[in-house]
Amino acid sequence: MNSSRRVYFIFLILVAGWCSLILAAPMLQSFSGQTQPLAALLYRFFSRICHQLAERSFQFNGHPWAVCIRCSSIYGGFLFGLLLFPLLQGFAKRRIPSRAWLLLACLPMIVDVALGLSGIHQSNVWTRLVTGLLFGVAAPFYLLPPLFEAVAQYFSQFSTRKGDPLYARKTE
Amino acid sequence: MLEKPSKFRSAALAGTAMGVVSALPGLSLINCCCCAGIIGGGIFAVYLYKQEFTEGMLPLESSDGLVLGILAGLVGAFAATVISMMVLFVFGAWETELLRGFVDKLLESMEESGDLPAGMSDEIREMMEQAMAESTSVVGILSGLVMNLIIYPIFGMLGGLLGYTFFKPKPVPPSAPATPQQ
Repeated sequence: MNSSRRVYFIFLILVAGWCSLILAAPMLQSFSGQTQPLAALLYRFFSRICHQLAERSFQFNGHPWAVCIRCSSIYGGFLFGLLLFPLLQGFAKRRIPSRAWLLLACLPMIVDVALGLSGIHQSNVWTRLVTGLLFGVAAPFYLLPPLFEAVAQYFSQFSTRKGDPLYARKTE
Repeated sequence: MLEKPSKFRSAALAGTAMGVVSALPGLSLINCCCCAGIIGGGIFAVYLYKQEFTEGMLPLESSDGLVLGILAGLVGAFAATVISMMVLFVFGAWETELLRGFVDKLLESMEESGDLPAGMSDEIREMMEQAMAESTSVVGILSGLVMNLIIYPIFGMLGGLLGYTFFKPKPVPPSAPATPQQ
């Protein structure tokens, strides 16, 4: 397995784990007993990155998810985008799509938030879900190629240093 | 080829900006949108770093973006914790009273309209008091720092990689073959 594939699978597992924690919080909260302190810890952890307003969150058994609908759809979309990445781009190409596409993917979410803040149009579940998903799906196509490249650069630096007799002498 | 500039200055500046944005009341709401403040800090670190390049230096690489984002995230985690402690120290009592008054009014109106079951408001008030006490305790501050040290480098790294995609040097086109002289 080459380094890009290895990095991809590690990243995929980490993102899937992150998304699972978002769902785990209400699940643990709904079990009565010893799991509730763990749920409280997860809610507190995610409170640092999301407002967690219950009326703007999906619910599980009457308990809100650890992050709001918009954040959930961004993370969910990101996971979906990661799964699509090998099918649409593959590991061999390190091409980053045009920045205009990222702006286009981001724009509906910015407009939705701006309209909500200005009071012109209040966002609803569907606008939050769709605009978040759109941005989330696009993001991995901009993050994975430089990540693969960065890891490859480190591997090559490390192997060069290992072959360097001066480095070998220092580490002996 | 000259060596690249040191990353610490850019990372420290961007990390401090990240901490200020994340810790100041009101401004910190930007992080509610998928950690935009932290990701923005990572992008800012790469921007600052690129400004330090001079002619003849090795070009900016994606590994630089990755490291800059993580470093800025680490600095940002400490900066956010320290600045939020300072804010709590200066405005703490005023902010607590404001929040308490807001929640009391909200609970009263919910009780009057019948949206809240009887006895529930006392439970919510107790939970709120407990959360406020936790956030000002040493354990609360330290656990907050640990959480910041997990979240900030992750999102800072994503910002650093995005910053690289925005500010990476343009590829030099292969030089055209010399035209034969007649």
